[in-house]
Amino acid sequence: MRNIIFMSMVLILISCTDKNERELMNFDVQFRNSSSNALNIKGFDSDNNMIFQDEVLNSESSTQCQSVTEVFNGFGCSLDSLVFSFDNDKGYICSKRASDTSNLCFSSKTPFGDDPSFVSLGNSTFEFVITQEDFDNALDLPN
Amino acid sequence: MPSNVNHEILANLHFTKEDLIEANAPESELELVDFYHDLNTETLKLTDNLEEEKEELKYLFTNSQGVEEQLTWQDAESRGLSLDQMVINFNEDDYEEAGFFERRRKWNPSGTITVQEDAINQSIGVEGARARVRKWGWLVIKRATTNSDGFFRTSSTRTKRVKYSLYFKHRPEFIVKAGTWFWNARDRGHRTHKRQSWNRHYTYGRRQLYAFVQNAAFDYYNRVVQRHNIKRPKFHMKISAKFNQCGSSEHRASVLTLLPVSRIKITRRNGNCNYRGSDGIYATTVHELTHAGHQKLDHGMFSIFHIGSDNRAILTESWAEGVETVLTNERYNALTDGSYISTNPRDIDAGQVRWGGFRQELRANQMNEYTPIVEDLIDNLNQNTNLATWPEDNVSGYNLNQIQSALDNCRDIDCWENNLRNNNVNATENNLDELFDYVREVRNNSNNW
Repeated sequence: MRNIIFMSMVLILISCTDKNERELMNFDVQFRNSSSNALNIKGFDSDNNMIFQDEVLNSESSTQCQSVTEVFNGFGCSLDSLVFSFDNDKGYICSKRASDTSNLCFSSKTPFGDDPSFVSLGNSTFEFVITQEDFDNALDLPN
Repeated sequence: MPSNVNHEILANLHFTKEDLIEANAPESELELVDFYHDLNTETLKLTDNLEEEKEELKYLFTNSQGVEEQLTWQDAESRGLSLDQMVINFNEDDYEEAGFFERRRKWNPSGTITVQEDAINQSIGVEGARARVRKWGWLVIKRATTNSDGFFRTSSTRTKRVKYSLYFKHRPEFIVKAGTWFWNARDRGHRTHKRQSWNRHYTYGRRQLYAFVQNAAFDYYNRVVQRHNIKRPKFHMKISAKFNQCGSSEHRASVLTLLPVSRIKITRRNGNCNYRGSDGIYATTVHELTHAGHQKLDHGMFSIFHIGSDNRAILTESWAEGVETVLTNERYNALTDGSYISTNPRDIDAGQVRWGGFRQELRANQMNEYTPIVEDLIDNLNQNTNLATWPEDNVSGYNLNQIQSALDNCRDIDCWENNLRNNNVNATENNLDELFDYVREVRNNSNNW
């Protein structure tokens, strides 16, 4: 009888099909401007509402946005697209929208997803760096 | 009772049976109804339970001169008389209102039970729940089931004063448990209703959770299974709704029937101890019921011999995740005319309005066994066009029934893919191999889960 009870308890313990949600984590994400020019950054949600704006001087970092998700995945924060513009009206537009075919994002990196270009600063803080080369190669932005 | 058995009489009770008298009963039986009514009213007076009805009655009082006076309750109160000093006047002729006692009138107990859906800020009917009407506080005399508006109406009764209760269950399909196998989830009203309906609106607390689980389970068994032609879970499913516990919800595949354990556990708060939201409770209930349906479809898949299998984990969890995603968006978009916005923090962070949309914004090596493969087989979104590192999805147009049929009796990802290709005609089937590549990559990266 004891064996039956023991086996029953083992069956219960080992046979659960869980919805093992991964726990939510907080990630602080920021931009760093290492170019020689000031950088203006605007972030939009999927309804085109501007939900992030910051002017980042050279060698400075932007205000942080806090991304709440399971795994680090770049700029979350409800952002759908980001516009980076220098004072010469050149810059970049990065978007998660398939409808955006402008190809105005950086050629080798993106602020969305866990792009390898993100720099980990420890304590779940990540930085996306805009370099002097990015300024040099900036694209003409539509009006 | 044999005389040699020690016993104590606590009370002598008599329960009238007015409901046994038919509507077209002869006059002699209707007089019996009158008598029962008067008897009940007198009993309530003696036990001081007349409540507001005492203000409507008239009383006979014999004063110090031996003269009998007829008094209203207001008269009696102003003269400082108590109920036990007076006799109820049962003579209908002394009442101005014709048919005041309405002794023979039948009525239909009824009510409306609703719940506040916080995800969409709407009041929704609690559907398919079982209302009970009680006489004397405990004797169940009538039963009825709530409709989609949460409304119920029982057959008629002559019992004037009733109490109501609601049980969160729908026989024979499921029964919601109050956090433990031993107690049924219910709302037991304690107020007496005199020919009045019972209206409840749950805005917080355990009953709100029970109502969410009730609606989700009822929707699954009675709409989803037919609409999407997917396997119905077993009958007599016990779903334990955990109000305070933080953690994952569960489907216990191998619970022995005789053990006092519910097969499904739904937690109100997730592992972070954050409230799931009403859409989250719907989603997680659907997820676990989908496991139960999968088990009924393919019992061997849930054998303890497959425990630890990465293939099994991906097949079972990705299937349940996909059904959860499809149904949650379907239900809440229907309730909001297409303007539903997911309250899942992961979706909000990803800027997604669809429930579970965040899963399609992950690279394969960021995923665990809850892949979005089912959504990918159905929708016409290729997330790779949004970001080059996200999976290439050039497959669309499959439905839940086809995906479930292909899953039947499969123990690995290749089997699922091959069945989809071989058992269906789909213009995008040549891209299945490309799509399933990311699922295989997730399996091979199970160390990251």
